[in-house]
This record gives sequence, C-alpha cells and structure tokens, in this order.
Amino acid sequence: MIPTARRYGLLGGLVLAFAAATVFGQAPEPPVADGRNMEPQVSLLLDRLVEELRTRPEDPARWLEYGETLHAHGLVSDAAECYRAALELLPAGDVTRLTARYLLAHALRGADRAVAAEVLEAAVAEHPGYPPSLLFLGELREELGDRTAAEVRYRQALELDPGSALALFRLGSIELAMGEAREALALLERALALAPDAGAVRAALARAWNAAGDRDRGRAVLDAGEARPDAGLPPIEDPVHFRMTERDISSPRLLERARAARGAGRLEDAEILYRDLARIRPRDADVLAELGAVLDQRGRPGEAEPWYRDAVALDPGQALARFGLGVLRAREGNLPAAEYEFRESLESRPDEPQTHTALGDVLLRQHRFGPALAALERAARLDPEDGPSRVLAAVALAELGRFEEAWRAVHEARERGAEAPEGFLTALREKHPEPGR
Amino acid sequence: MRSPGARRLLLSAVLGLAGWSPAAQERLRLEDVTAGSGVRFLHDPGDLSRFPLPAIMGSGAALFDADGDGDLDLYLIQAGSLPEDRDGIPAAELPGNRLFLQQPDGRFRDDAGARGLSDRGYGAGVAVGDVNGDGGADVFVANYGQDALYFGGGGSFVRMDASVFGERWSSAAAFCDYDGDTDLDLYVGGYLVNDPDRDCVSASGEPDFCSPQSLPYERDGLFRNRGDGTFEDVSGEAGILAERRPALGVLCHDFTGDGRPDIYVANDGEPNLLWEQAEDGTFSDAALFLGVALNAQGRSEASMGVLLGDVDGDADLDLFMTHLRAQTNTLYRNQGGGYLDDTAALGLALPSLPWTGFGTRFLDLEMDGDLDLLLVNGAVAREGGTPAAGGLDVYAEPAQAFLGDGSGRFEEAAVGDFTGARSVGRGLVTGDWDRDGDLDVVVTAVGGPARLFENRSSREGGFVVVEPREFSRASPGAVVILELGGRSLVRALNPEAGYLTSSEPVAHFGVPPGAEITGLRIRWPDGAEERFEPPEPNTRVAASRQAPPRVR
Repeated sequence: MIPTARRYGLLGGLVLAFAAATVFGQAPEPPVADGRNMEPQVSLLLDRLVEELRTRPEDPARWLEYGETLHAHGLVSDAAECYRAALELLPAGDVTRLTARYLLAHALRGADRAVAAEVLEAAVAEHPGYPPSLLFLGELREELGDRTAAEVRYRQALELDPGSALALFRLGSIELAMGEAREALALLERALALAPDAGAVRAALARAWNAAGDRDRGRAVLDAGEARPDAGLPPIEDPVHFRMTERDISSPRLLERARAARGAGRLEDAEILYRDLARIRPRDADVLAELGAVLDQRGRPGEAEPWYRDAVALDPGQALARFGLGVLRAREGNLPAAEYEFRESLESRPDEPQTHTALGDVLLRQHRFGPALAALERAARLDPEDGPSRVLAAVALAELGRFEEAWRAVHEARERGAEAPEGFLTALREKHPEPGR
Repeated sequence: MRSPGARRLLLSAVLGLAGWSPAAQERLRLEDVTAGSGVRFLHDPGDLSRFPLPAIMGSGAALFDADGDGDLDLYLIQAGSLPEDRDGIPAAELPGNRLFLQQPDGRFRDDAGARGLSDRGYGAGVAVGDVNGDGGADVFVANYGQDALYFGGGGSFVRMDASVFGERWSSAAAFCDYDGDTDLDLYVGGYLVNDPDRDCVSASGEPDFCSPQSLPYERDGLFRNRGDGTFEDVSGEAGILAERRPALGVLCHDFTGDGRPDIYVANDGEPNLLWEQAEDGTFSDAALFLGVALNAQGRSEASMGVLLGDVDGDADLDLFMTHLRAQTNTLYRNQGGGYLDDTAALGLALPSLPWTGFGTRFLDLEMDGDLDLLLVNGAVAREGGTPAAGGLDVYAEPAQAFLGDGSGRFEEAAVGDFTGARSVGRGLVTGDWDRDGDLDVVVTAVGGPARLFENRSSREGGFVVVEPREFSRASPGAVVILELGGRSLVRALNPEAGYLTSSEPVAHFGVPPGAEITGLRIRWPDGAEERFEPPEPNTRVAASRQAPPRVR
C-alpha cells in the first residue's frame, strides 16, 4: 500500500504548483474539456464558464461553480483541479473552504479514497460542526479498512445529529462486523425506528438477530419490510453535493428531473423540461411520448396527439404513446381505434395493469363482456391493489349474469378504495340482493 | 481531455506498484504464449457506431476436453453482427464460435466446423457438463438471442432443440443437479431486454453505451433436466420469477449446508440474489438475510464475475465479486450463518477502485496452499471528454493479480505478461492445459484477441489435482477438502464461476514444501461426504462417488 504521506505528497505537489502560479502573479489556466462529442447545451455551458473564469481567475466562487459543473457532468479530475484552485484562493476560516474540501473529497473518492479522506480530515479540523463531513469521512475510513476511525467519526456525527438514522445504521453495522451483536441490535433498532422504509437497515437488523442466535426473529424483521432491499437507505443530508448535482444539464439528468417533476405532479415544470429535452433529443421516442402525456395531463389533448404520433413514428412499439392515443380515441368514442391502440401498447408492455384496465373498459363499452372480463382480471392479477379494475369487472360480471361474483368484485373494489356508481349498484340489487346486507 | 488522463494513469500506476512485490514478480510468471499456441481468435462485437450495449458486455470461453482425448481444448464464444443487424447476412458469413483442439505437441488447432460447435448466435456465456449422461461433455451457449445446446460425444457435437430456453438476452449459465435426481440441471441468468433503437449518452452528454438501469430487466431461467438431456422450464414453479434483475454471474452451491444446492446470482447494479432451496424444491431469496445482497454500506453494486473460495483458511467458502469503477470489488467473508463484507480490511478495496472488473478466478499461483486471485478489467463507459475516435482503446484497462496470505489478506502483485497487458477484459478461464501441475489462464476481451497465458512460475511446493465425479460425470457444486496434517485446504468445484466462462472442472491444490498429505474428503452437492485415500503429491486423481444419492 502506498504510504499516506506519499499519496498526499502527490496531491500537495499539484496544490503547490498552483500556489506558485498565483504567488508569482500568473493566473492559473482553467482545465478545458474536449466538448466536441458532448451535447451542445453542455459544451456551451462549459465554454461560458471557462470564459467567465478567465476574466476573473482570482474569484474562488467562479472556480467552485466551474468545478461543480464539471463534476456534475462526470469530468471529475478537472473538477478536482478547480476545487483545489478555489481552496487556495479562500482565506482561512472561510466556511466556503468546507464546501471546497467536501466537493474535492467527493471528486477524489473514486480514484483515491485515502487522499479523499485526508482532504476531509482537514475539512473536519477546520469546521468540525458539519455532520455530513463526519459521515462521509466515516464511510471513507471504513472503505480504507479502519473501522475504529470510522466509528469515531460516526459517533461524532451522531452527537451533532442524534436523529441521524445513517449514523446509527453505520455504527450498528460496525458493531455487527466486530461481532458485537447485542450492541448492533440496539443501534439498528433505533435506526429502523427512524427510517422504517430503509431496506438496508432492515437487512442489517435481521443479520444482527441472526448473529445473536435468533434466526426466526431475523426472518420476521425482513419479512415485515415491503420496500426494495436497497431502497430508503438514509442518505447523507448533503446540501453541498445536492447543489453540485443540480448543475447537471445533460439530457439524462434533465430526463430524470422531468420524470421527477411529472411524478410529483409539477406538470408546468415537467412540460418545460420535456420541451427542452425534445429539442436536444428529437429522435427519442420515450421523451416525445412523455411530453405528450404531460400535455394530456395538463388538459391539452390536442397538443398531446402530435407528440404521441411522432413517438409512434419513431418507435411503433412505444407503449406510452400507444396508450395515450388509445385514451384520446376512447374519449372521442372511437372504441375500435382505442382498442387497437391499447392492444398495440400491450404488445410492447404486456404487464402494464393500467393498459389492461383501459382495454377492459373499451371492450365493456362495446358489449364484449367476456373479453372485457379477461382483460380486467389480468389487470387485477398484475396489480392486486387496484380498485377501478374491480369495479369494471363487477359490471362485466353482472352483464354476464354472474351476480354473486359481481357483488364480490364490488366488495373487493371497496376494500381497495373504489366505489361502483350508485346506479349500477341499484340495478345489481334488483337482480340479486347484496350478500351480507 | 488535456491532462487528467495522464494524471489518472500515474496515480493508478503508483497505487499498483506500491503493492507489487519484486520477489513475486520474478517468481510468478504468467507468460503470453498466444502467438505460438495456434489460437488465433479476434472477438468481433459488431457495429459499434451506435454504442449497442450487448457489444461492450463481451463473450466468454471454456476449457474442457471436447474430443475425449484427455487433454484440454479451448472453446471461444464469438459475437459478430447484432441480431437486429443480421437481415440479409447469410448465416455462413457470421463469424461463429470457435473450438481449438489441443494436439499432442501442445498446440491448438481450430476445429469448430468439423466438430459442429460453430454456434453463430451473438454469444455471451457458456456452460459445460454431461447433461445426457453419455460420458461426453455437452455445451450450453448463452446468447443475446436464441440460446443453444449441443450434445457432445465421440469427438463431435450435435445441435439440439433449445427452444425451451427462449430467445432473450442470456448472460451467465451454470449446470448443477439442484433437485438431486443425479442429472445436471441448468440455471441461466437473464440480463436485459435490449432496445436497439435507444441511444444513450454519458454524464457529459457524449454518445456512450447505455446504463443497464435504462432498460427493462430480463428474467432468469431454471431448467430441469428430464433425465435425457432435454429440459423443462421450471422457473415459475420454483419461485425464481419472483425477482427480475440483470444477472451477470451465477454460482450453484449449498450455501446453507442443508444438503440442497442453492443458487447465487450476481446482478448488475441491483441487489444480488441467493436463491435458497427449500425442501419442496422451491426457492426464496436469502441474500439480504445472509448479508450477500448489498455491500457493507447497504448499497447494491454492479456485480459481474462471482467466485467462491476459502480465502482465510477457516474451511468455509467466501464469496468474491467484481464491480464497476469507483466501486470496490467485494469480498464477503463467511462467518458461519452469514457473511460480512470485509473487502477493505482484506486489501482488495483500494486497488479495484480505478477499474471495472469482469472475469475472475481463484487459483494457487504461489503453490503454498493459499488462494490467490486473478481478474481482468475493462470499462463499460468512457470518462468524460475522452475522444470518440479512440474506439475501444479508451475502455481498455490492466489485468490484476493478488496474492493471498492465507489469512484472507491480499496484496497486488505483478505476474509477468498477464498484469502487463491492457484490454477490454471480460472472460477469464483457468485450466492446466500443459499438465504440469499448475493452472494456466485464457483471457477474452471485447474487440480483442483471446490470449493464452502459460503459468511458468517457479515453485518449491507440489500440487494435487482432483477430479470429483459422481454418476459418471464431473460434479459441479462438490467441495473438495485436502488434509495436510492439521490444515485443511478447501476448494469448491464451480467451473462456471467467474464471468461468462467455464473453467476446467477440477479442484487444484498447491502443496507447500514439506507438507504431508494426510487425507482427501469430498462433500457432494447433496451433503453426503466421503473420504478417499490421500493422493500422492504431484498427481492428478479422479475421485468417484461411492455413496448412493440421497433420496428426497
């Protein structure tokens, strides 16, 4: 293993070279990425930031901004160079030095954990009251094989933030690794109480019970969780890193943001982002279809349709566009056309319950009750918690004269929060009394 | 990019050299003998202009006795044009897999056409085993597209109906007798449902290979042997369709010690699975419970190659797997009843950070009884700002060797040409093709030649090679224990361990100088254990099962 001092010497050499350049009045030259193959909006942004930096090379904020932008776009080594430059320009005690060091450690993490840890040690020494630094440092120490040093940092983080599920989780995992199952149990129980959806915490707690000799209890802890195994892991509450990632304007990142906005119901934001994306990636059928869906959700189906059509022209199997077109046709009352689009959508995505429900609906409205019921039952199998498919199934069953089953479907729908229309229930009661009433 | 590439290289070189022991460099040598071997094989990933994801995943290889003459032959998997680009290309013009038969002079001769093994699918993984019980090795080829099954016997191969395996993107595959009925069943990992029309870009918006998380995941398959080498898909009833994750590595082994083989699946960027087999032959995932789903920090990693081996000499088997750049390769240490990610403490974390690991094997390079480790690396994504014109070169990375000290700790070492080479490394297979008692190595690479590394290390100790056989075939999943007085050397027979490959199906032991061989035991996949006469040093022995199969 390379000695830490030697590793740091390598970093120190780069920093010293930079310092010498500034002392002797030479403005350091910002690193310039080869942007020829980048998306235009990314390379233009980087060019602009370089130009701004060349006019104000003494401004640490510009170095940080450029570093964060490079970092966010995966240009990590160049980002590290910028953070070092900012650090050199910032006066001792300035809290922005914590930001620069924190980001520098992030940038170095992939290539050299030891140097990253040294940078963070310096950050913690100068600004000891920032829990994310301590948690990050603890992680790095663990990855460097020093559980004892990691434990110290996690405990410091926990003192500053007693509600840190992450600190409790990491401490519990360390105790478990050291064979201290009882200690681990206490810490992990606290972590799980704070982050009940954290699959990783749940798994660690299960292993702690197993290690403590209670295998059944361990299994029970795991079985009680429904989230994905690695979902809900408490993240480092990390505003600095978050700010950095926000600078990413590459199309994958924009798409991520657009989807998040759509998922959160922020449809106006989503529309802006999707329109940007459609300019950057005009041949991406997914993007076009999702823009169509957002417009439809915003009550502008006429604007949605051309986007759906463009998506289908690029990719005839684009399931969301086919689904959207189906919904438009169904609204117009063109049921055969709607059925065609839903079936096309299911060709690509056969396990989409919503599409089976929509197909069941249009079949029902065409009085094809048997096929409708089959589609609705498929939807219910794929999404057992879905209520509307059970309501529609009740209608299909009633039309087929299977009244008892229809009532069962009505009750199943109710259990799932969906109520059949009163008119239908009245008609069904006339055919067959409601069981249990 | 202006300077960082060179800086990274320097840093990596310093990191690597710090662990290298000059003494080991002189003593341990894996020499590139490709040029004189008769093996000429260039992997063809197809048209790379749109960065199709299957192209960067690479293809595997197998070392086994294909013609029944007692020596090892080499089967190399080829890709070629992607299935979606094949319209109008006559099948005969597709490159096809190649079989190189070893000749009496030790050189290899290309004999694929004559032997019937020239599968022309877009190849990924390979598994070898006698599935029809005729004594000859049979071959399963996992393809992006229709998989293929070949029955071998009498030195030639016949393509069988493989429709049961379906047409999808299969990756790793492994044979084992999971249901204890004495024939070999098959687990096939499914990777992704590819979308050839999807163009992807890197973090800086440059065209690059897609991330696996941008595509739907393919299902895995468990196929039960009907007893005659034909298979039925039992995935649904066995319960393995409960999860659908992008599999790249498969291991069959009784992880829970109940006499029923379990299946470990290494997934790319998703929690790994350990399918624990219940008494009724169904499976449920126990990876989280046993601590082998996520790393120490509770994160899933991009797992590729996977291995089992007793790295710390405590007579149980530990799990190792290779991962993406900036993630560590991970070693899960068996603690009895569960596993602990102990990678950092064992010296395997930091040296792996700059590289993306794929093919890997444990072997005893030093012949001191302790397991050492080889792995090949090769990126799957470009660093931002690297020139597109560089082709595959920008994905090339060095291979690595690590020497184990028997306590579980490893130190990086240079071992001749093997660690000096850079390639987009994918498959790594081991086998003693020159029958000199140590293991030789074959490496495959995306868009590069297959390369043969002969083990020419000087050694002081001896060796023992054991071929565990049951029901007239090799026994994947068996555990072989060689006793040296108070010390037990444990080797798991998992030919398909690693990435997309099948190694020689033997348990290989280095025997330290002066050590006395006092016993040989084999724990068969159904839990039955048998003791055999201690083998003489420097011998190769076949150990056949005497005990009847356990009735379930």
